[in-house]
Formats: sequence, structure tokens, C-alpha cells
Amino acid sequence: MITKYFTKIIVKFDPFGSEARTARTMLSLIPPKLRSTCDVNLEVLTKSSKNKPLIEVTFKDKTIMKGDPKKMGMDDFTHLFDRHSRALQFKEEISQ
Amino acid sequence: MIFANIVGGVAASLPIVSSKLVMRQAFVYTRSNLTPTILGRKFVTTRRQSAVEAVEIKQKETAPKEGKKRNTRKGEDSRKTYLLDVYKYFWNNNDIVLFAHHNNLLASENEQIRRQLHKVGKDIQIRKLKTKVFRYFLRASTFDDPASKATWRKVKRKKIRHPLEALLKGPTALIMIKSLDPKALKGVWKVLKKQNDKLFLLGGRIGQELVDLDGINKFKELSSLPELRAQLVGLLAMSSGAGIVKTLQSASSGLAMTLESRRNQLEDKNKEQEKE
Repeated sequence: MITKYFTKIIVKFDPFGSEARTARTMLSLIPPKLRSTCDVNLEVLTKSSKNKPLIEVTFKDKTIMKGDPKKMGMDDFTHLFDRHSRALQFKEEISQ
Repeated sequence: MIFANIVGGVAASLPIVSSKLVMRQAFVYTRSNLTPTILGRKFVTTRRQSAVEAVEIKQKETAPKEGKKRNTRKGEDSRKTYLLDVYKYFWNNNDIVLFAHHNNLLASENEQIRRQLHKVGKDIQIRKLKTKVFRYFLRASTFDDPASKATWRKVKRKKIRHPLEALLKGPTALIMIKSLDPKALKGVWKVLKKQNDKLFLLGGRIGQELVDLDGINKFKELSSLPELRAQLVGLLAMSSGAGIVKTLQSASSGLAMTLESRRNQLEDKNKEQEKE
């Protein structure tokens, strides 16, 4: 997954739910160097909380992409985010 | 000749053998001289001191009676058996066991967190898990020896699952508190809150209860056991509780008195019989 162009990440998940694997893999893929430039907003849900599981990423050009980790796997998210990241990478290379 | 070589073992004693073959034989012999115990020790000595101590205690506890071998699923001194023993020790000797997700922590951050947790309580430990080995341990945790072959067969046949298994789907660390102390838990909570997404709690076991984040939250707001006891004693000692104390005492003191009188009666009877 290309994480270079992320500026904000929102992750909400219930650790006991089926979405846990995707959400936790997503979190573990964020390198430590990115923490200075990228804001990670995390919420651990419980049975009593009303929020729904969510993964949302804001890119450098302020496009927002989100998905439900209950329905999508990590591969789906990687595809989704990488498609946009590659477009951004292409633009960056041209401008140089 | 080849047959003789294998059976006899001593290559030099055979008349027509090239020097190369002898060399190879010698090499094989030196390698086989390394006993597996020496190879197996290596990883034990590189562990943290606490874990090494844990294993030493564990080994004393489960030391096989002389001449008896442990029948383990993996090798007796293999890494997995070692880990299962350590996990068993941790699981049985800590009242609070919390599961936390950790994210690409740097070595310096690891040390910092360890130091902060040590400040909260000296017996608080943190350890990153081999999730699959720990998952197996949870399934086998009700048995005496989780590493044994018999346990493995039972777990497999009965398809035993554990409710906390769900927390092991990613990089997981264990935070252990020895006593059932809400104050220590509150301290741990504070330390982890500063770490944000780098290290956060998922759930765990408090006493014998399996809890999620809400459960941990509730427990950390309680006051500790000695404090609660002191409160109760204070309540009973006060005027409103004095009645309760009296009624509770009266039953036992009444019983003592009746028993005493009965004994006196019996003694009197005995004396009379002796006189007659």
C-alpha cells in the first residue's frame, strides 16, 4: 500500500468483530515516519457504542475515500487507495 | 563397502577409502556431538531476565519425575513448548491480563513505555505475543499441560475455541498486572492514552472475567479491595450498622453459650456417675 500521500486516516472498529483483522492490518501498515505528516484518528468500538466500523483516508489533494471494513478486505482497500495514490505519484513526476 | 561404512561408522578402519570421504565422516561426527540441549539453550539465554526466571520457576513446577519424559507435541526443549510454558505462567500468575494492539513501535518507544509502566507498578509487565502460539495456548488453557500431545488431541477433537481469540488478529501485546488493583489499571490506562494509535487496549481478562473496553473502563473507576473493606467496616461500626453487628454476633455467641452449658451439664453428670 502506498501511504506517502495520506494526510488523515480515520479508523473505527470493534476488536471482537469480523472487521478487526482488516482494520488492524490497516493500522499496522502505517510506517512510523508517516506519523509526523499524517493524522491518525482511532476509535475502538464496543457493544454499547453507536458508531459503525469505518476506514477513511484523506489524501494530499483533499479527496476522501472510505469503506466498511466489515464488507471489504485489506486487498480491496489497498486497490482502492493505491489507484488514487498512483495517479498522484504520476502527477508529481510530471510536475518535476 | 558402503554398507560396512554405515554400520561400522569408523571410516578410517576401512582399507580402501579416499581421504575426502574420511574428512566428510569426521565432520558428520563432530556435528552429531552437539547435543540438541546445547542448541536449544541459546534462545533461552537471550530472553529478558523476567522471562528466564519465569521459565526456571516453570521448569521446577513441571519438572518431570526422574526418568519420566514430558510427552509434548513439539520438541521438549523447542521454542514453541517454551513459549507455551511461559504463556501459561503469565496467564496463571497475573490477575489482570490486558490485550493491546501495537503499531510499528521503535526500540526507543518500547523502552520508554516499559519504563513508564514500571513507574506505575513494579510488577507490571508488557510482552509482545506470537499470536498463533498464544491462540493455541488460549484454547488449551483449561488443561494441565498445554504443550502436551494429549491436550493437542483433545483441543483438536472437541474443536475448542476461546472468546478472547478474536483479539489476536494483528500485532498484539500482553500487559500484565499481578494483583487485582484498579489503581494500577488506571495508571496503565493513562500511559497508553498518551501513545494514541501506537499502543491501545482492546480487551482482556480481569480476575476470572473476560472483558471488553467498557469492562476495563468500569473496573478502573472502582476503588481497590482494601479500601472497600475499610469502607464496609466503617459502615458497620457506625450507629446505623451497630444493630447488624449485634444481631450477627448474637447468633454465634448464643450458640457458644448453649454449647458451654451443655458441656457443663455433661461434666456434672460424669462427676455424679463417678461418685456413685
